[in-house]
Amino acid sequence: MKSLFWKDYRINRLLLIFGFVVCVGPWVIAIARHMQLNMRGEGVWWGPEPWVSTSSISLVLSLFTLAMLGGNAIAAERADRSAEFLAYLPVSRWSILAGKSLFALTPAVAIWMVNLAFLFWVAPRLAEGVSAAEMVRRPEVREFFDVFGPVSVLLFGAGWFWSAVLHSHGLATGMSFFTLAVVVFGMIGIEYGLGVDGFFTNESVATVFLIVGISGYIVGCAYYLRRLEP
Amino acid sequence: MTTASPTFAIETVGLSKRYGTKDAVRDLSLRIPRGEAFGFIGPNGAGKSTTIKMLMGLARPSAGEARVLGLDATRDCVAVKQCVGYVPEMHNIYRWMRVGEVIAFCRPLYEKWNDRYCADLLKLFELDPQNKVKQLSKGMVAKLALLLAVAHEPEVLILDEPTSGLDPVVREEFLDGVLRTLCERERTILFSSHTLSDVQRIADTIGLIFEGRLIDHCRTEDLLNGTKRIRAVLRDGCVPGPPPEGTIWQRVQQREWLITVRGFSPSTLEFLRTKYLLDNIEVIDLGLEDVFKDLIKGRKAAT
Repeated sequence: MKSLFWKDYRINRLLLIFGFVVCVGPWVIAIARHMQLNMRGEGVWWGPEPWVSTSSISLVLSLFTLAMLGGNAIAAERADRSAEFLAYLPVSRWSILAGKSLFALTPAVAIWMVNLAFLFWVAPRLAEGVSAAEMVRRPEVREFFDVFGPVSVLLFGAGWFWSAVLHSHGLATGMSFFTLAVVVFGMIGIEYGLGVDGFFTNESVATVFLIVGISGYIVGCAYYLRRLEP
Repeated sequence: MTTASPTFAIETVGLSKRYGTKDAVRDLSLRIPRGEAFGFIGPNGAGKSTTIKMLMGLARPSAGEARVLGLDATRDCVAVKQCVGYVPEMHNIYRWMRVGEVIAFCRPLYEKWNDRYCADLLKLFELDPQNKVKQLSKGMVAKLALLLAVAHEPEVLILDEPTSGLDPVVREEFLDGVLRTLCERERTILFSSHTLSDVQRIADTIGLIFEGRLIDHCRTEDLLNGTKRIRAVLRDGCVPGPPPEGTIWQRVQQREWLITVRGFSPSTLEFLRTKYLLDNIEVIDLGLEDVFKDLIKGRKAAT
């Protein structure tokens, strides 16, 4: 298993660097700006809003990372046909899938953990007069989680599914965004086209996104286990 | 490794593979004893690679079964790959890895890996562990693929057109490598190639597949000793009639009658001499390539 992890790390290395930069970068810039203003003694008051905005930027950019992590997972090795070489080796599909899942899910979870840590641990220490508990209770923070959480799951799960099916990781990543668009416009169509009132709400959108994302991951796994390379 | 059938390294029973409406392999029953070098030949699209893929668990049979060292190739494909070394036509080794990294990546995946043998082969094949795979020539990649296939000392070696696209010098070096591994350790080899001189050099037995069916399976020397081409020159006015028994291909051009006979014996000549008026008759020895061509041409003419 160790050699499979090493191989998956090497395949995803550039993506992981990109993911790290776009996830942590906005926070580093925001903190640096905060420190710079404090050092100048300009006395700028930074409440929770700039930190919530920073987290939004970090997570919006990280959505690309999540889609690419899903889209790259399986199709990247098919694109250069190295999946065929892997198929000749005495490794079960389950082991390969476990390695790929671990390598795609861990950074995806880490992106969220980094944002949660910055938002609820670092920001309250830098924002004046705001505790972590207050931060959690803020409506814009709740709304922000309602949107970004399910979108992240959908993009990752859809990317994973398309990666299991397609031969191009670029196309699989693109298809994950296309899936997001199809689901959103589909729901809008049901609400306004078919006249189903109250269908396009935060709760129903989140539920549909979660179902599509999780199903995409499960179906992608099942398809990969059944499929023979090439 | 537990084996249910110790006699045969490779065994297929009624093996078939259908892609849509096309039968790629039809009812293939084949037995290759342990320690034998088997040459698997046939024209393009005859079903060689599909058969090999089924043996490696890379394709599911539509019917029948494939067993390698007694293990079911579909159900126990991981165990099969542990005891089989496989060199495909296309060597899709990770191009971004260095040679040393490829070896380090593959090594832990095998239960048995002979480091000393691997080091010997690296030296023999002049492979630099620091070189990236993408920097290697096609011949060097083929040698790396052979190294990876044999360094875990497999009982069975399956080579699917491994020398395709290699220049004659590299091909020679590659075959030397195969022969070396064959001589050093008693292995079963299934060797598929369009370069029939290579097959003739390595194979103890030959299997000829045509349109998905195994049409011949015999010892190489029996095939070559027993298959002769007869060149008969007919006397003016004499018309060729039924050919001798065992004729696999024939061609008449003016007075010259060329007949390739399987199971040639002096009685074949006797038959022609007594039945036809001949000015001249001679027997020509054939190489595997000519035998193969005549068998295929004869089959195509018959169908």
